[in-house]
This record gives sequence, C-alpha cells and structure tokens, in this order.
Amino acid sequence: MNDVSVNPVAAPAPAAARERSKMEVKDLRFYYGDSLALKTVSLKLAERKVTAFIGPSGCGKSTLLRVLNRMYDLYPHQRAEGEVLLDGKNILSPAQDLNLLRSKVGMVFQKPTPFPMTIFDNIAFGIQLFERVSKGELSDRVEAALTRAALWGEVKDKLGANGLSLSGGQQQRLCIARTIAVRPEVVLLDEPCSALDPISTSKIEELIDELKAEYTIAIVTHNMQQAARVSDYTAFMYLGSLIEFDDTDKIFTAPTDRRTQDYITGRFG
Amino acid sequence: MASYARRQVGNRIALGLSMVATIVGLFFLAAILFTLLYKGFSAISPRIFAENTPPPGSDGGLLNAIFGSLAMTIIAIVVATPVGILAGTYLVEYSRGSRLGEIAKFINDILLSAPSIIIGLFVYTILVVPVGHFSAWAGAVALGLIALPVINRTTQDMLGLVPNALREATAALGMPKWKAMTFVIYRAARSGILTGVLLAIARVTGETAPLLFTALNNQFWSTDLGAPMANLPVVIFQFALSPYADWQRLAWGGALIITVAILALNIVARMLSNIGTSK
Amino acid sequence: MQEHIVASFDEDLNSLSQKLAEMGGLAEQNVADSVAALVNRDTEKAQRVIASDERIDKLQRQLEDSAVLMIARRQPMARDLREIVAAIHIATDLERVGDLAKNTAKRVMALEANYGSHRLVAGVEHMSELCLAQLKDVLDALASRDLASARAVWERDNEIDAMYTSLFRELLTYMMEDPRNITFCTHLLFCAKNIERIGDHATNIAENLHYLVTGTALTEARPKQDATSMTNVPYRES
Repeated sequence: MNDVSVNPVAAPAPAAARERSKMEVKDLRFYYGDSLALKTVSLKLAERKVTAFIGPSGCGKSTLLRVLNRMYDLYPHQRAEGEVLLDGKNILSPAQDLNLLRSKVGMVFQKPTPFPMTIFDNIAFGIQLFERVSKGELSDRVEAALTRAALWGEVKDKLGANGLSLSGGQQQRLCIARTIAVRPEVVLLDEPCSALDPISTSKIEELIDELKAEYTIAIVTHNMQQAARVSDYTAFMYLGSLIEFDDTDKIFTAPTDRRTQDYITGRFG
Repeated sequence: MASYARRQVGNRIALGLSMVATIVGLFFLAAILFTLLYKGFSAISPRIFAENTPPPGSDGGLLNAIFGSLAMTIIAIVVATPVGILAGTYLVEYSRGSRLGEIAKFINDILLSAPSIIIGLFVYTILVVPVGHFSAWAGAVALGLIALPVINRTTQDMLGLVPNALREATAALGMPKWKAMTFVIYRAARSGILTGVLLAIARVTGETAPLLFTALNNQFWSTDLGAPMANLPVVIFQFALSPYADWQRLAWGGALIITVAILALNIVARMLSNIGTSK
Repeated sequence: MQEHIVASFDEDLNSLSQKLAEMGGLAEQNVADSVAALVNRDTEKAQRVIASDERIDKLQRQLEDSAVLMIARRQPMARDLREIVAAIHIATDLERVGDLAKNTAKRVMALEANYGSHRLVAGVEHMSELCLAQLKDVLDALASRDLASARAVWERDNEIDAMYTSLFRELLTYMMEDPRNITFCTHLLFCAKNIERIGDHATNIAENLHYLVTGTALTEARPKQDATSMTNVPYRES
C-alpha cells in the first residue's frame, strides 16, 4: 500500500518560519528530577497566531507549555535546559525577572481558579499589581477586560458578587479576563475547556478567535477537533518529542508522519 | 433469592447494632449534660458573676475565676495564634518537602497529643521555679503552648485544602508570593483557620493540669499577672473535692459555665465553616 | 494500516469500499454489455443494461448517505477524511459511467430498423476495448490503492482521445459516402462520445485516487488529444 507517511524527523513548518515568531523554543530539554520529559524540542510560536499542542497523555505538551512562563520554577525538582526566546531574549536565564515574565506571558488553567474576592477585585487586583491606576481608569480597564472576555453583559450588575458564585463557564471566562487585563503579549491556555459544557466551550473558542488579533496564543488540548477549529499551527508531540509541526490545515488533512496520522484518526493503540 | 433474604437480615442486624451503639453513646452524653444542668443550674445566678470565690461556708461567686480564665486564655491565644498560623504557613508554603519541614511537622504532631500535664511541668520548671512563685503569666504560657500545635496543625490542614491550581494562578499573573498569600491564599483558607483558632480556645478552656503547676489558684480578686490567679478549672477541682455543699454547688456552676462556653465556641466555629462552604 | 480504536469506524469505511467495488463491477459490466449489444444488435441485452442502471444509481445514493453520516458522526481527519470525500466523488463518476452505458443501450433500441454494416461499428468496438481496459485498471488500482497504476491510466487516456478523433473523421466520411448511413452513423457518433466520456471518468477516478493516497491533486496538465472540436472534414463532390 503506497502511503506517504514515512518521514520520522520533524522539520520546522515552512509556513510558520515565514511568520514573525514571538517565542522560540531551542533544543529544550526538561527534567522531572532525573527523568527526561522533553527530549530536545524546538519550535516557534508565530506572532498573533494560535499554536496548538496535541498528543496522547504524557507526551509532554503541558510540560512544554509550562516552560513558556517558567511555571515549573515553583517546584524544586523540575528544571529546563536549552533556550526559550521571547522577542529574542532567553527567558530561561537565571537573571530573568519571573514576575515580569509572567506579566507578559499569561496562563489560563484547566480548572477555573477565580480568586476568593469580588468579580471586580479579581480583575482589578491583577491590574494593580503592575500599574498605578486611578479609580476611574481602573473601572474602565475592568470593564474592557470583561467585555473582551465576553462576560461583561452577564456580570455588569453584580460586580460585587464573589467570583466563586459564577458558573463554571463564566468562571473560566473570568480567569481569561483576569489574564488579559494585565495586557500580556502571549496567552497560554492549558486545556481551558476540559471542565466545561459544550456551549461554554464554544464561547471560549469564539473568544480565542477574537483574541488572536492582539495576542500570541498557545493552547494545549486533547480535543483534536478543537485544535483543528481554533489553531493556525499544530504541534504533535509523542513521548516527549516533537513529531510534526505544520499548518493546522495540513496536519489534519494530510499529515506527513504516520504517527501523527494514527493519532488524529484514532488509530493509536 | 435465599441469599438476598439472608443479606437483608444481616443488613438489619448491623443497622440495629449501630443504632444501639449510638443510643448508648448518646445516653452517656445526655446523662452528663443532664447532670450538669441539674446540679449546676441552681448555682447560676447573677451573684456567680458578681462575687469572688468565698471561703467555705459562705455564699459567693466565681468572678475572679472567670476573669482569670478569660485573661489567661486571651493572652495565650493572642500569642499562640500568629505564631501558629505563621508556622503552619511556613510548613505548607515555603518548606515543601524539605527535611527541616518534615521534622517540624512531626514534632508539632507530637506536641499536639502530648499530655497537658507535661506541658505544665515544663512551664513550671522554667517559669515558676526560677521566679519562686506561681503566676498568671506562667499559666498563660502553658495554655499557649497547648493551643499552639492545634492552631499550627489546623492552619496546615486548611492551607493544604487550598487547590494548587489557585497558587499557580497567582504565580501565572506575576504576583509576588507574599501578596498571593495575603490576598488570595489566606482568604481562601480564612474560615478554616478561624475555626482552628476557635477550637484551640475551646480546647484550652478546659485544661486543668497545666494550670495546677503554673497559675495555681487565688482565693481573692487579683489582676496581678505576676501572681497566682484564680481560674475556673482549678476552682472546680478544689471546690468539688471539698466537703462543703456551697463549694460543691459553685463547682457545678463553674462546670456548667465552661460547658456552655465550649458549646458556644463550637457552634460559632460550625457556623463559620458553613459560611465558607456555602460560597 | 493500523485499525481504528473504535472498530465500527473501520467497518463503516469498509462498507464504503464495498459499495464502490460493487458499483464499479456493475458499471464495467454495463459498458461491456452495451457495446456488445450495439455490435450484435442484441436488444434484449440492451434492455438488461437499462434496467441494471437503476441499481447503480441506488448504490450511489446509499453511499452518499453513508458518507454524510460518517462525517457527522466521526469527524474524520486526514486520510479517513480523504477516503470519504474521494468515495463520494468516485461514486459520482461511476454513476455517470453507468448512465453513459445506459445511453448507448437506449440507442441500440432506437436503431432497430436502421442498422448499417459491421464495418461501420468496428471503430467503436475497438475504442470500447481500450476504454474497458482503462476502467478495469483504474478499479483494480482503487481496490489496492495503487498509485502507479492509477497514474498509468491517467496518462493513457490520450490514446482513447486520439482514437475518438480519428473515429469522428471516419464516421463523417461514411456519412458523406452514403446518406443511408447517416442515422446509423449519427447514433454511432454519440456512442463514441459516450465511450470517450467513460474514459474521462476513469481518469477522474485516477485523480481522486491520487488525492486519496497523497493528499495532493494531480495538477499537471493531462496530455489531451481530443481534437474533435476542431475537426473539419471538407465535403468533396464525388
């Protein structure tokens, strides 16, 4: 059977290389203690595009995402080697100011995590971390962030209510609003819709579509159809290695590597 | 079908036995409360809150004892609470997995269940013997040392209940750790920690043995913290063992007061934790 | 290729292939029978061809319905998606092949009284042999997903086109020779056109097969030698 799928080595996607890259991962190796979890991964995140990381459980996609804002630094036995460039500067260097990095590279998690404060404070708190803002401007910024996150209409009359009183989908949109309120440049989404119902999921996918005009977005998802719908570029990972990285359209209609094809057609076993 | 019928019978037997056990337990509880109320209620009058402990044979109240207990408990809690909360915070948030942290947690758990008489003896040795006399300070320190591990442990447990994702969310926003603790993590664990403090107070309210070694007792009204001070548990101890009917009556009254205080504290603690969970 | 984790997906895909195979077999049979009926003036055979075309149409509708259901249910990706889309296209081509065979068979019925000599039919018969070979080859290539065979079919189509061009001139000449041939030769022209179209459909199937296997279209200019649209045979007074 003639099947064009024998290329085992991933070449950087030609299309992505043409775009300006906002973040670049170079020869990244990641260790949990002594065990190597990411095996020399290199790829580029194109500016103002959505890049999806897909792959079976344990392939390292979340690990890779969490290197991009050095979230692993919270844990003593995790370390990264190699380079990760944000606008050309290596963020893995020990001299990197982590709080500054995370103000530029925001993250939304799988489980919605609103702070135990009012809806208004949830957003305002983040803004006030980095900027001195007058009361009026603060209100405007909060409103803008909630509007951008498609939540303003639903909460504008109860900004004083506790963030935890919202539904799951609303809480997640609140977290997204909180993340974009501090005006980051890159937004990382770690399976943002896993815990949500289909309608909330669609609202967030619509949101991603709008947000990519302003932010560079990386999303980890185990829902392949979502990756196909939402992203411009897709990276398929398996057992800690990057197997294939290309235009989303190409990956999902005619992938080059057999392993990619097997995974996305549900033949993995 | 036979085995189903057999299982039903077995089920009913087990249910029956558990009900009997519950009734037995509740019975004793009810008996204690009933006895307390019956014997102590007659002693409760405005006088019990107005007059000091009397010499045998005359009427009086428990004012100095109530004041003493309150004073020493308040001092103990005021000192133990910040220390306990901060220690618990350190053990959960800052010393993840470190050897020192594990050892400290272990020691705390030992102290938690240490017999209070040992704590009393310890404070006696360092604060009573060198000074030469009993004092309310020593009593407060002893109570504080009993309350401290309780607050520490509760803080650890409540902070442990805060989901890690919340901590990561604060880090992801670029929040410095101290701000994350103050404005987010503590708020999330707030009602739990408060409950812990209240339970520590309730625990400490009834401790007798340490006070025997430290504050002892004082027949008269005293606000001198450097001198022995009256307190409810020791007064009850003394009065109940005495042959005087007045004193025995007052002892029951004191016991009732302590019981009601602990009951009130537990109710408030329960209400607080309900507010926390109903959010 | 490894099987799907969900076995019923493989079953669905297999049933698509089976339907295509059945359609292909029937279409092949009908083409052969319609030409045989033409050559041998066999109206009964022609009737059978006309009746059998209904089955091909039905299969095409069934296949399309299954394919749409599979897309709705399974959200197929990559090769699975290409298989289903290619199946829909190929089914359409095979249904058209069936219709063209039916058209030829109908002309056999119409020609009852107007048959000409065997000499006139020879050209069509020859062309149909080549065409049937193409059809068989491409259906075999489809069954085994053989790219090389498909490409060979794709390239050989120009032979049929060349034949058609020369047959066109030949029939025009016959008609000019003897006006009594006109009815017969006109029908024969249409039959020849049908056969040429069948050859084109075989090429389409080859192109769809290429897309199925590689994910890219055969975009090179296919060599074409059908010059009939520019053919002119001047009338000579004899």
